[in-house]
Amino acid sequence: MLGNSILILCAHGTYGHDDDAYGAMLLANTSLAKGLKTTLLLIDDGVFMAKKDQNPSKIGLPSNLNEILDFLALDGQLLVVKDALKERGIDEKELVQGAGIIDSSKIPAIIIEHSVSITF
Amino acid sequence: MSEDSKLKILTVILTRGAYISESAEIAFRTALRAHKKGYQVNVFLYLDGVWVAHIKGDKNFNNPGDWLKRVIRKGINVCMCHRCSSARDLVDGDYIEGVKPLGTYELVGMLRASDKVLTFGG
Repeated sequence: MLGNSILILCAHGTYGHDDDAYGAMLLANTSLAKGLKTTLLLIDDGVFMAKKDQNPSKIGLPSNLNEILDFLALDGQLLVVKDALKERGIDEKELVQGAGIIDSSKIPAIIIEHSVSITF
Repeated sequence: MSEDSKLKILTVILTRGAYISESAEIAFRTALRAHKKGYQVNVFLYLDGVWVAHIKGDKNFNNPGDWLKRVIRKGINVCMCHRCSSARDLVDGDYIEGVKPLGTYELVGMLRASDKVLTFGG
């Protein structure tokens, strides 16, 4: 039986794969509601999800910002990979408050410290 | 029953539909092999993975729906995300018999009770 922690890796952001992004958020917030220690790790294009003040409705896409803010309010741990931000020209100041920035070299250790990892 | 003799539980999550990749076939083959090796297996169809449950008819080419039916015939617990299927207008009668619509709340419970979790998508 697995423990009480879950890591959700999201490699797809709101733009292009919005169902993956929303599916990750839905599972992340449900996991928190069920009392599991939950970490959302945004990698690759997933980092776009953590941008504050974004408004994808202008191009007909839903925003997951409310879900991200709910996640943080419920004490979820939000981590964003620094290299992925840099590659996409996103400054750390553009992210929602509460997002933790990590180096990609830390990813294996983060995976190991959680009971289960699910990738979107 | 001792701790060692309890069946290990594997949960397989499929997030991609049929034909776009081999994820569905590989997920179902993995589920069948694990079942054969003595695991208690759950299969959860999530996001576009729910579309595989829609493939009810016979095909003269590769048929992921047939793999899913095989999984169900073996007594493996197959569920799909109710919200994902509703979003795709996949309603009762449209999908393969034996697939149970459930919420993510139940999925998290399933994950918690599992010894191993594998995600197929990408």
